[in-house]
Amino acid sequence: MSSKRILVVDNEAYIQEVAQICLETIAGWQVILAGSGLEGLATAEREQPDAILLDVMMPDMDGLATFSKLQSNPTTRSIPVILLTAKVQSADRQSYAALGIKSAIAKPFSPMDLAQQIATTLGWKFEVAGK
Amino acid sequence: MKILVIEDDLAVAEALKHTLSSNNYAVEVANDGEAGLDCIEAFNYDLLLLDVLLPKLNGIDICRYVRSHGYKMPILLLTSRDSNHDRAVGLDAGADDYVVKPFDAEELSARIRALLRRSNDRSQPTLTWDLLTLDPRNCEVTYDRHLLTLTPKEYALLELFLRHNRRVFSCGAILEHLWTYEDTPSEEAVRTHIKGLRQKLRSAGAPTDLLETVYGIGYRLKSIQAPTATIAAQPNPQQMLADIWYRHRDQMVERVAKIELAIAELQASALTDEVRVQAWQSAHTLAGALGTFGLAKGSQAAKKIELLLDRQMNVTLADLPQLQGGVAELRQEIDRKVEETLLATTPPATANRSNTIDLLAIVKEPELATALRATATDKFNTQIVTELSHGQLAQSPCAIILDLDCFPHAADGLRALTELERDYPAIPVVVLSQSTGSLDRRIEVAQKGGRMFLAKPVTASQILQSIDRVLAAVRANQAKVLIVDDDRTILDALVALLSHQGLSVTTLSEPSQFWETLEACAPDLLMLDLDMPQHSGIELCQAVRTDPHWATLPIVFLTAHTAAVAIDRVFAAGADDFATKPICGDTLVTRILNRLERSRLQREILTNSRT
Repeated sequence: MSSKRILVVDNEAYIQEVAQICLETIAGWQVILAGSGLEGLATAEREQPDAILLDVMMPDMDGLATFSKLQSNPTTRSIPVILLTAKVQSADRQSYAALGIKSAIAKPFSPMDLAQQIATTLGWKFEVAGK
Repeated sequence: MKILVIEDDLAVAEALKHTLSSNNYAVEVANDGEAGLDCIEAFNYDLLLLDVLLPKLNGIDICRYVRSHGYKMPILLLTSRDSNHDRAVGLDAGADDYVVKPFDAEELSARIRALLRRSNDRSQPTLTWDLLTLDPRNCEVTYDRHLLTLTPKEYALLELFLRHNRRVFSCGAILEHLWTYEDTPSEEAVRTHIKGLRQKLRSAGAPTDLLETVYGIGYRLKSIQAPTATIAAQPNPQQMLADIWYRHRDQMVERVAKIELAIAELQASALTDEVRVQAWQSAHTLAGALGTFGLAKGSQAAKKIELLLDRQMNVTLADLPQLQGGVAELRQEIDRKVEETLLATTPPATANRSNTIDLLAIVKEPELATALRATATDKFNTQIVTELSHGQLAQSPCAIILDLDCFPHAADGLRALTELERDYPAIPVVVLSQSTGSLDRRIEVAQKGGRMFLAKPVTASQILQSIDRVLAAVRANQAKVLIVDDDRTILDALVALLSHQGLSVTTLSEPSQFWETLEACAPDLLMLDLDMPQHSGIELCQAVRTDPHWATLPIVFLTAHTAAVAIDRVFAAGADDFATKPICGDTLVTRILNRLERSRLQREILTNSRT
């Protein structure tokens, strides 16, 4: 069985851990972690995940800059990206959509619903029986 | 695996260290017998490699000392003297094998592997676990025949787990086995290597938790079980989230301290931009983190602080009261959560998190406890205790048996019942009590949320029959609620609020998919936001009411409007009730539960009148 693989790019360790636990145990997807935009770029290119969950506010290279680099690289351009951000007003969402970002999940997010939100956006199914 | 080399010839010691390190062992060297003995007493080694002729204390004496003090690690003696007598003395003193100098690196490595194998009662040279195979001869690791490319430390970690496949290793124990004293890193480094190893194992197709975390203790190889048992051991994400909070709470407190520093500087009219930015970033992170861990009030307080500390706001002394109030609220929320988590995770060392409890019984009489344990075994995973703790409740039992006689006074037992009903309303409680004739006691129990009252003496079978009936009633009452709102924050808050009550909640943020979702979900109650893009709540409500199947579905509106005109419109469209935003949790829950109960009764009456 080929499991979906999702790359979570966030400098906050708690977000990495929460996302990993929830996406793995609730949805049964494989989670790959990266702690910065730069690491995210390299990991995305190497691992070719099925989707990327990308935090916006990160030091050095923020989420939007990371996204634009992902877009300019032919090997990562087609990987769907979901932003994790506190800015989710409709104007923000419109500007994300205009950039080609698949969707944005509002921070703070509800951990138990994170997998469901991603699944709905990407049309994925859960691979383990979740709550 | 960690090896201690006791060798006084520095050149030989260096050569040994080189050979062993290239086989991924952590190597420490002592240059005389006494120093070697100090190391043995201070640290854990998986194998000792001793020269026989050593200054201060010779290798044979070390062997004798080690064995007489109960150390069981294998010992390999290394010496230039090759005689039968020496060999016999060494082996009699407790050594396991003998290598003659000048040693051959290949032979030495093979002998070490053999000794390590023997110490673990293994006859095969390769180490295996399920589909995972590690061959120490060529350092090759495969999972289901997929070759894994591991770093030396990841390899060493895996070898350690495979050689002790039933043992849980704490970070400290891993550090002791895999790093030498001089270059011991922090425990964070262990976690990083574990993370890396897990990712590589997963990429090769291994289960996500092959290397499982034993909360509060460390890591181990997940036991190989039959598929049914694996399903039973499904980790509980709620509990894991509590553990994540527990690990990160100190960072949260540090972030509050950064905000407090900025406030202190502001108060002294000496706020630097650097401190302001740090405090602003801390508030931003806290706003996200606290909300994620369920501290909505804390998240809002952090958000306000973040706005005040934003560069464009030009924070002044006039903002002090607001900042101070916000920080006080943050502290209060974090303290409350810390306390909750401490209660819920005590005692971490003994909690068996992979086993969920189905039935939690708090009973006094040992006979009844024994009978319950025997009768309930094949049906429920039962935990029987004489005191109620949050740790047991955190494992989400499906029902609780509460014997009021376990408490010093009946009033204490009734208080516990009230608290259970308040904190875990979805878990039904069956109450046992001695006072058979007291009507007052029965009424009190019913009022405080007890689902069933059983007068003692009562048998274990009678109790379990009552549990069956209560659980059947719970299942029948597990109503489904569909909530349509374009604001995901509201949806998240409502999911948390209503799931806590045992309701099954489906959410929808895109009104355009309303009809499909309605039919797929078949809810017992519908909640609609009044103002939404594409289709308003009123339009959806009207559509529902025109369909004969859904004409009687209870509909509750959510609206920020309190004007009479807006409310009239809601009822005119066919709504049954409305709740105003911001949501008041308790009121909304009561209204929804009442509405569901009324709807259930109506259905019952309708069914009875037809029969």
